[in-house]
Amino acid sequence: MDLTWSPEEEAFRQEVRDWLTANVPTDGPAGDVEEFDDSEESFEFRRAWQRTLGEAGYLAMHWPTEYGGGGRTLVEQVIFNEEYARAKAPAPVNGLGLNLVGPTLITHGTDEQKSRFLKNILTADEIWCQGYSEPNAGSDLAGLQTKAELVGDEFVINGQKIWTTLAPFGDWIFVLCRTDPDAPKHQGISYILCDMHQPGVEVRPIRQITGTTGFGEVFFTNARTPASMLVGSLNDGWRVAMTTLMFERGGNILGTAVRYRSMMTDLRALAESTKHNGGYAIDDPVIRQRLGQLLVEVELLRHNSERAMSPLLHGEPPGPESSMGKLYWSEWYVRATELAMDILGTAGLHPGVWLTEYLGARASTIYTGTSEIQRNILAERVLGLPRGGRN
Amino acid sequence: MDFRLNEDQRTLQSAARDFLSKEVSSTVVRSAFDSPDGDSPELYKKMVELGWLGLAVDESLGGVGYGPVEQAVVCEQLGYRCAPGPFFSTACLAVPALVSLGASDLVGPLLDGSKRATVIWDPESVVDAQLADGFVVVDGAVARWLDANEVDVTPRGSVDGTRRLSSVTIKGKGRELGSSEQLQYGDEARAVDLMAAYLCAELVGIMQWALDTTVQYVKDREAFGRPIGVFQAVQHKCADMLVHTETSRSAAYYAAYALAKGLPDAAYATSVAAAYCLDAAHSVTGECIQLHGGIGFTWEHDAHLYFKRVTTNRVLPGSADYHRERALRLDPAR
Repeated sequence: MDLTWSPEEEAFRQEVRDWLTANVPTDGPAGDVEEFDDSEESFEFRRAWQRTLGEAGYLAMHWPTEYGGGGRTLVEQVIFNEEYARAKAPAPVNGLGLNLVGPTLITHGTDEQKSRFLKNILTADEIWCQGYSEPNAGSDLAGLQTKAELVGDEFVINGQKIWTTLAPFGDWIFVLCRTDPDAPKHQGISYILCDMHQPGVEVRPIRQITGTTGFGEVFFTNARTPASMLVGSLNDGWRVAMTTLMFERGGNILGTAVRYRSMMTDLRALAESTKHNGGYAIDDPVIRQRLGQLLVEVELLRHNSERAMSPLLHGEPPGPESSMGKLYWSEWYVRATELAMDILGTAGLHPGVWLTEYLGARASTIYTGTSEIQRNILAERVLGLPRGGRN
Repeated sequence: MDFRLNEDQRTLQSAARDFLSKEVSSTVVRSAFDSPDGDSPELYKKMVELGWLGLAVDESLGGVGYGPVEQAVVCEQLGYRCAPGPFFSTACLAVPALVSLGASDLVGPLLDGSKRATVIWDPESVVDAQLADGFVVVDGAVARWLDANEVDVTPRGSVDGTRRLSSVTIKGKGRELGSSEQLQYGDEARAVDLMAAYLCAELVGIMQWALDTTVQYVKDREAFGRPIGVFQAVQHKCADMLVHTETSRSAAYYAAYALAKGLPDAAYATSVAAAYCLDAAHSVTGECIQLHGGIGFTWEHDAHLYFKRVTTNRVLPGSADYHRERALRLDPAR
């Protein structure tokens, strides 16, 4: 065990910290909870921020330099993500492009796809959406029904996607489509890129429990895309998509730990400043126990994350602790925001940061694999229990 | 940045695992459990020969010269086998106490196995007093050393036959060792934090045993024509046991590391670990019984040995509530 960073790593951290201190905008629209702010103003603010990051060489740190990325080592990415979270920097606008479709194209894409798309992902000139979930295929993603048929040199797509983040702002979408209806369900799926600006693609915003409309439904009615927009082989889309999900679930775990540690400090400050039974909430022993438990758990999110990262930083395969992160932090987040609401009492019922977090937290135990799916993964893939009622 | 055990620590871990899997069968644990005094002298003698009593003690005092992380490694493996005997009271309580008090002449006989000892905070409940030849006594602000002839030990029935609590009547004045501060929690890390960290490491081993045993059982046990491990209600409990076990491991080893390095957050890290591990171990060993069904409630199955060890361990280093409060008080970001 050696939890120190080398002098070179510390120097890189300082460089990143200095740059973020000087450049993170403090005048933007509130909210680093990217999915819950649907305003044009917020969108343009984050697009401009992404471009600032790009010009400074702090965007797509995990992409190779030949594709315009930072080409940074894993340890540098980890340090960068920690500092980014510590600086409370807003998320770049094209997150799905940067973190999901970009790395997927770098791994599985054709040269044509790479040169056509990667640059515009970095500049946020083309905003990407993810076309995975459907009304009848969420946790059971492989049950998806949206169909793509090869007609001449084009795919013709019909079906519906849902819970599509940034759909109202999207330019392109990567869509999982059924291309062989007779194959077993995990086979016969293809990963296809599709222009959203065409008559066959209709976006309907969905109003969320937060009242905003950051995601939406996407309807495909004879939408067309060239056959060259297929990523990977025909009917091999499940494997391609799983690489994408790995990016989505694996990345930035230390950044997440920093973000929630900072929320814990805010929560404590809330308890210290909120009047409660003639004193302050922090004086209530029951509140103190709940704060103490959340504090303990958020510290351990950090140590779990350091443990999960350690084999990866040294070129070894991940251990069991690497699959727990999403379940652990999302459930912590829900409990933390519940305590905030209990501390606030009736004052929490009016629009405010904690109310937004409290409502927003309810999405975190659902997206990118519900807590139930996360527990299935731990039970079946880590503990090796027999597969349950799914196939 | 590397949280993994280094090569020496991994070697020690596998040596301890191999040794204990050979030496500490369920029969050995049960024999101590049912014995008049809970002792396991053969096992203890071998642990002394391996140098385990002085793993974290400086070579100048006759120890091995490793540190708290290495001792935690061994404690985890002892927990996995629910090993009986006065190793905990001697190596995890008395030795760190005496070392911190500078009573080096009293350390040697504990390391070479000629004496065994324990620490008294509350004379009504003293860990393995019936096996001790000497006692470190917290007497207000002062710590004393008493020989066995200066106390009367009255055994009381104890839930865990392999880690018993006795009443001790103190008859003699003993030898004054100095301030008892090191044996009481404060704002900075003290010997008592080491004791808590070792106990957490033992709990990690206990949880790992409960998890492994439960996972094997739900794979083998069939109901409704299928192994019960296919049912999500069962799977999800196992997943939560895994999260508790692995998070406890992160907690216990970070605490041991922070104590070994003398980091500013070492006391805080210890309370973070204790607050989490004490509750997690209770949950994991409880779910182990639950998922075994009726057989888990029998004397015949080993689940109760671990559950009882946890029941005892949970109250030894101060309660989880106490450590949550202390963590909150010591929060470095406050």
